[in-house]
Amino acid sequence: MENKREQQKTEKNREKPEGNREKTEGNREKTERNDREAVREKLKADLDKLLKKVEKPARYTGLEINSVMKDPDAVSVRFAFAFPDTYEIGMSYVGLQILYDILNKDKDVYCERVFAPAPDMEELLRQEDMPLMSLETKTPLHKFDIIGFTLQYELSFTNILNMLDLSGIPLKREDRKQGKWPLIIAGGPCAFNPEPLSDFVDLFVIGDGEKADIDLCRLYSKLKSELKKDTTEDRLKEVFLEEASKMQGIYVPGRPIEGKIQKILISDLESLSYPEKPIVPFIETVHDRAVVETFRGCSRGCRFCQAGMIYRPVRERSPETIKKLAECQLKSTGNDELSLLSLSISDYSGFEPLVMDIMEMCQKEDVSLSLPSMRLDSFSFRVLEEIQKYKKSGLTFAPEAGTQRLRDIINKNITDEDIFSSVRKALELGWQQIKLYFMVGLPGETEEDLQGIADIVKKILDINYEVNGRKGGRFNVTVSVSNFVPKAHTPFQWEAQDSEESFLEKQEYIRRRLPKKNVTYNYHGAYKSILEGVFARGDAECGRVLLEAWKNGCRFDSWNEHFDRQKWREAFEKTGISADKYTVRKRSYDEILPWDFIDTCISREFLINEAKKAQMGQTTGDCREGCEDCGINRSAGCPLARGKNKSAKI
Amino acid sequence: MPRYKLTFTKEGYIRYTSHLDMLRLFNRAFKRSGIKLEYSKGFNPHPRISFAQPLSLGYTSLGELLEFQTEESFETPVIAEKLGRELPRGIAVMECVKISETVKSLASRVTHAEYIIKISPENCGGEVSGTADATEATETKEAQEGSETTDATETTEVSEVTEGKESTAAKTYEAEELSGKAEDFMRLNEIKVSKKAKKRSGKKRNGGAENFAGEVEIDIRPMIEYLTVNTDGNNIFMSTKIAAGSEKNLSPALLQKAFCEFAGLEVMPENIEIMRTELFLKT
Repeated sequence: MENKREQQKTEKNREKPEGNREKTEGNREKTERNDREAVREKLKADLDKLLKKVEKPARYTGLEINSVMKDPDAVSVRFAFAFPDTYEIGMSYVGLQILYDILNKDKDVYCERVFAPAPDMEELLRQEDMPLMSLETKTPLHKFDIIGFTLQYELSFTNILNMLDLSGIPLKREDRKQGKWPLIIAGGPCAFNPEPLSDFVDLFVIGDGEKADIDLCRLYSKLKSELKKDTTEDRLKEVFLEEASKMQGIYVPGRPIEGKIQKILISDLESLSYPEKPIVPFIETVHDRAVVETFRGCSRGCRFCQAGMIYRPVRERSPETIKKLAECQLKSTGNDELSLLSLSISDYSGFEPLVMDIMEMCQKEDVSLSLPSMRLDSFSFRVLEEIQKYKKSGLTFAPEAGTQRLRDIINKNITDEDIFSSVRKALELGWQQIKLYFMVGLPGETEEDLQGIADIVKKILDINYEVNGRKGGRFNVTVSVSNFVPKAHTPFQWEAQDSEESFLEKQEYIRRRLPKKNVTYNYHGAYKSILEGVFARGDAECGRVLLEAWKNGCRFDSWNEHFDRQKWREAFEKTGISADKYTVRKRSYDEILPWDFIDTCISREFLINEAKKAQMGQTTGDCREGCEDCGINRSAGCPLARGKNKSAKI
Repeated sequence: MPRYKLTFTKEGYIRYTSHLDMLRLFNRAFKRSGIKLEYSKGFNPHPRISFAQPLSLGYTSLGELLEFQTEESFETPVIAEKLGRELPRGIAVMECVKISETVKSLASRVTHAEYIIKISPENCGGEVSGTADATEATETKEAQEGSETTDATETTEVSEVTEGKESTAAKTYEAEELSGKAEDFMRLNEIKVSKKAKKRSGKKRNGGAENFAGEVEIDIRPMIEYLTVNTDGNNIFMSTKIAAGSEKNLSPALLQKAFCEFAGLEVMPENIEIMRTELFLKT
């Protein structure tokens, strides 16, 4: 080891002879630099031994095509993009690719990646007393300036604490005030209710992260060079947080807030850079394909859907940009699948011509096209016939509720007739797999709605017999039932969530009524949905449960094989916190909610009005057909609202 | 359609990419390079590309073989250059040659493979200075073999293991003694090792232990062409040529285990590195 280090030093010195004047200073810096390199080399060697013992070692190696290698000593900000789940899940997340690309385009910043180590790797790291490291340069997490966590789902929260702990970083922000600890920042949909994590995170980014993340890095870099000579690490952190808290959409826990924190909204997607050369993983990930985001936001207004509210307004990329990005990505990755991303692809304003052009491009390149969230109408069947040909994968419908009455309550604009006629058409064209998504525990749900789920499935089986004869062929309907979790910033944010017992009863009720033959029935763990419910509408108190659960050993709570209900139960008991307070309790409209200080630009009046309309079973139209005045147009401007408001329509 | 054979290396972190993932990796590299592969006909067309012999996860190689067919004909240096640019660090194209379209697949022609198995026992580095090049080896060895890096717990473990074997670690790995052991090993008429055997039935996999019919004793001696063992004072190097391919196949790890047991060497699996140096084909 010593030998190697000496050798490296000599080599470095040979490479770059320094001028006499700077010699002493230069040598000291070089020695430090070489020491850092030596430490990294040692870690790489130690890691290598662990790699021989773990499952899927390529999760931890990095060096994929299009991953970015920079000299970490030549940048002023080192940023770790942290995804609190495994590599395969994190690498399927487009937001990671977007932010990685933007941050690394700045030559002053080096953004590296880190994922939650799988339990086998965690065990080895702890056993060998090794820190969690970045993929690119194998740098321990605690050596970074900023660690940015993405908050995609509540059940990943214990992994955040675990990742910090694995690098020896104190979990609570209070305990990081002194000393050279990285800044822990977080963004993503769960940041819209930041309080459950406010004990642990220094700063939250609310809304679109593309500009905020790079602005934060630049601010950090500026302060670092300004304060360099005459300040301590603690002071730099303090000044940074103070300055950052003045920026739009930035929430710094523990600092006074003036008014509300309004989300960051980038109105023009065309102005944003989007990755042309995304990283290509060596191992198979969940979504292993080139992805182009076509638009952000959704105009449908489903009342249970948080994404539909917090990502308003609808903002589209031009067809030219989408086509160009698709071409670049395919060329730079060699992927054989392309996907167009959005919350509801059929709603894209130039959908048909766009799809025709993209389809032509894909056929030329031997690339398969995938269009998730496509509504099934005659055009989409023509498209599907073309793109799936012999390999007909399943068709998916999301009626969400079993009867029209309940679908009106939740404002899910799909009718039984839509489903049945599409299924008939699909069967005639040769599809054999139908997937259906439902929720139980929705506000206003009755027994009839549960029966309705079984009825829809039976009717679909009948249609199959009509089309494919008495035996029905190799037909299969997959029925997936999830448990409704009321989310912050939606019209249902005041609603009571079902109890665990009630979820279980309803799942069983449906199971007993579903036909057995040709039907696959899936449902979600009820207690997991309760936990999601706690954190989705939780306050700062919930952080104590989270910490306790992590101490009990909870990790990867979204994974059935790792989820441990008993450990969570004990965490609630020990902290004396009742889950019921967050879940089964109905809130009144005048209650102050933990996330009220976050402004999504959707007005409170709109949400209350929607909640009241839901109670009366009244639907609200699509924004594309007339402005419903949700508030986004008044505070931020909505491209769909131009010249189209309700009064004009009437 | 024009058919080619490509020889490439696999070193560094890329050795943790599995056989199946390597196939995806090459497919994508071909796509990026603009060299269009020929696709099979039928309901589920797939590119005509395959490896001669799978390489276990974690092994490095100096000579992996890949065969493929392209839509159009290319000069072989053009393929080597275009494809080489698109391959990740650790994979280097050594050679690309045209092969006859009628000859059997590489996979069916593999008969033998040559390996170097490097064993780096901890806690013995620098102890041996008997050979002339030991000092040099200490300098060039990779950081991971440094005895200084061994932590206290590992030290105790190893010394417990070597205790009672009446020889110190340093003496155990003397070059002459090792090559003698190798000769003795090769003089054996029969080398029985137990191996986990997979069930041959085509029944649906249930995963886990049920896939195995249990331990099976096999004689590996006929599958070993040669074996020599040497040391640089720190590491032990086993060089061997063994049967590979669809007819007879010996895993180098199995051979290493058998030899180490025979020679009384206790080795932790993480201190073993296996490199394939060459694949042999019958014509």
